Amino acid sequence: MEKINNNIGKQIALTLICMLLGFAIALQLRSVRINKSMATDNLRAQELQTQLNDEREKNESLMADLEDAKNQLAELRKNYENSGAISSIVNEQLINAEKLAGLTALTGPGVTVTLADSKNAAAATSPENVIIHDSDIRTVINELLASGAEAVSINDERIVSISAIRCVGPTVIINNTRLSSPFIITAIGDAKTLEAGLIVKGGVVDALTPWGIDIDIATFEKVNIPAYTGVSNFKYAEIVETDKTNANKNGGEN
Amino acid sequence: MFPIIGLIIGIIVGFIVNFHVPPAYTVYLAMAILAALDTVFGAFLASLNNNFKLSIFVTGFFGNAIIAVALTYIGNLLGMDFSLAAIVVFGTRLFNNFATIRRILINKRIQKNENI
Repeated sequence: MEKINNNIGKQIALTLICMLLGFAIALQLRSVRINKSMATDNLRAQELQTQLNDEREKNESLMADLEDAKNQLAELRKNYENSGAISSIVNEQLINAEKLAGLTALTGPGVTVTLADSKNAAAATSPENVIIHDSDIRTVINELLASGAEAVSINDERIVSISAIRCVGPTVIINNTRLSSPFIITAIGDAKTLEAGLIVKGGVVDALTPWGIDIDIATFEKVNIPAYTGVSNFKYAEIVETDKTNANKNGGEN
Repeated sequence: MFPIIGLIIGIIVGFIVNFHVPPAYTVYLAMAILAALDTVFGAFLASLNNNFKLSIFVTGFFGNAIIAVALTYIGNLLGMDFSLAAIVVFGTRLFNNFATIRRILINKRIQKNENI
């Protein structure tokens, strides 16, 4: 009898110990697998981080170069103006061209349009419906230009003839600068006309408010719009001679 | 029979449980497992020789594991991989034990066949 009891005790002890052993082995297997995958994830993240830092450094040095070049240009221009080598007419033309190209900061009467993501965006069933898209910004800008805006900027990024407005993830990239909500669109022009163009029935404001997007329009006596800070290297486009324009009016190259 | 069921239950629980050992400690657990496995093989051999004692098995199981882990820890502190000693010893003994078990089992079978 005692021997049988002893046997049962042995069996229980062995079972418990084997359970412990199995548990340890399984735990170890799982831990090693998880830790390995975590290690590779970390490695990848580190790699990307270094790449990002490199690009940032490059970007900074290029920005510094650009600043230098701009200063040089301003100096040269000042010298020219002082020496009187350029006649006032040419100078005026230059100023006009710069205004049109967005190379100078401008000031004048105008409006600011503030677009902010819907406050209940997080609660919405499909967040992409209630956040601001590049298309919304484009519509507003288009409307402003149609109402006679002479200069437009978004969060101090000047909109010029080659500015693209596009969504990248949750942000919008304009002139290679990453912007995020709220977007403050500033336009110079006749403030009343600009405002009216936006809030006209069936217009932009009517189109966006149902989505819960906050639109705030304010008119000002004076708004400031910064200059375009990007580079404008025209690699492909060339200036066409006046004679050639006529020759090619009805078609492309022969 | 029951010990095998216990082993299976342990493995299942180990896979299900929502916890994993931090990377720095996996080596210790591995050492403990190696020591424990060695003890289990030793116990199996002892039971085949009919001199299995539970107290010896239990103390061996935990004692070996603890010493293996401690050795690894000390090795870490001293900057030398002392766990190698434990790996070699336990590994060698594991193979030796397995070889003996194999011989005993096969000899038993051969004897049985001859008897028939």
